[in-house]
Amino acid sequence: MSTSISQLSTFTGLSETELARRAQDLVSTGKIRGLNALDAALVAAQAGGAGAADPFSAASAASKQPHVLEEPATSMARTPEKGFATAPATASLQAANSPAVLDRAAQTGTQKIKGFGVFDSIGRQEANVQKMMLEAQNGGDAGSRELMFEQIKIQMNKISESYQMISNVLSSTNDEAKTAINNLKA
Amino acid sequence: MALPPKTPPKPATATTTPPAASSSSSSPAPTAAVGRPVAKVPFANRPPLASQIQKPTTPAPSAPAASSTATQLLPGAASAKKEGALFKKLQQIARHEITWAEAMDLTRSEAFGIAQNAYRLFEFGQQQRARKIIEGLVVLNPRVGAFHALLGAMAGRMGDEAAAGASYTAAIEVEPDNLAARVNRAEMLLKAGNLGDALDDLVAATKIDPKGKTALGKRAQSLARVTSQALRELLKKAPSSSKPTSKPTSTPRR
Repeated sequence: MSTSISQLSTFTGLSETELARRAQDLVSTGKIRGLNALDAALVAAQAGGAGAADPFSAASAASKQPHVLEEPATSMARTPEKGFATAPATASLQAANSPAVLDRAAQTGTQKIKGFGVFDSIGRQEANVQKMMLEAQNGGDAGSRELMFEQIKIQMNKISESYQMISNVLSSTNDEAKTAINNLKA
Repeated sequence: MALPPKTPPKPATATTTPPAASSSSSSPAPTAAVGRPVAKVPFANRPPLASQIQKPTTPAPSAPAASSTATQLLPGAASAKKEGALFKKLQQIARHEITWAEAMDLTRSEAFGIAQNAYRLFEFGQQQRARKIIEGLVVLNPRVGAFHALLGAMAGRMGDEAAAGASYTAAIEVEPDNLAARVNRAEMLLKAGNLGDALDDLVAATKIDPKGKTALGKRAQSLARVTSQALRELLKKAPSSSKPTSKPTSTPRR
């Protein structure tokens, strides 16, 4: 078995025979176009001066953590403002996603969620959503309103849980900071 | 491993059916946001709304955290003006005119600041808490691919591969150039033996970061090269009738 076949076999947990069968399936189903496109993309990457890729081995691939987490401070740079409230202009994006700025922003954001008021009281929450559904979906049937009503409540519940978690985190961070300051003063 | 279809239903967004919504519909007694059981009464036949406001029911003991949060938030009676403004915003959300984040006046920096805290929390082992925070952010603005991708990665690290796959797909739907989602989903698909769909993600990932400037880009390229080489070699060994008809101008080297 060649090195690359052996590596792919170890990585996928499939035997060479099974891999060969699946490779044949790519041809018969027309998905072989994907392989051609991949080769073309790799050739283009090399022509464009691609840096050295990570040396691949099944063992090293297995030892690496799958499901890579991209740090929000990084992903924020390419995320448009769409769907968010308009923010006041900042000097630069670098400043906007610096740890200190993000920490302060997290505090402000958490306060905004708290102040929104949709979770004000159990009775009002449900009453508001029901009223909203009746008015927004006036022409709709009762079944679709019911479904939408449930969806909105699920969304509110998730935001509420999220708020509770982040609120606990931030308050404990504040407590730790206060303790550290007091210790320094002492 | 059960992976979502290549073109699955829309992600959990304010504009579409969230995955949890469909699961809740199968439960015998749907539960309100704060744990209050919801009677399965046709909407038109429900009692007058005013009576519900005047007679809040006791929250179910199964969800003490959510109900206590609800009562902590904005304590005291809200003014009629504020109530009206809130009602208007809720209507806009229902009509899909604005997101929850816009309704709450939440900016991108604030949302990403919260996400950054959740990321740190996850790295320090508080996985469940961190995941809950990101779930909330996805609801607040479902148009952010980075939140879906982060949620998928957290779910995957916690062993919930099905949820991870669904979140990566949601991330790619709203942001086709999300490298993390592409690479992570390609790995999942390869490990599930779904070579065809994995190839599509590897092609996209290689194009997003062709120079391998990021760690994710390097990972994508190494995976792409070994997959390509192995498949070419396997096909070479096969009968000539099943060989691919077209070939690239040159074979990429490792």
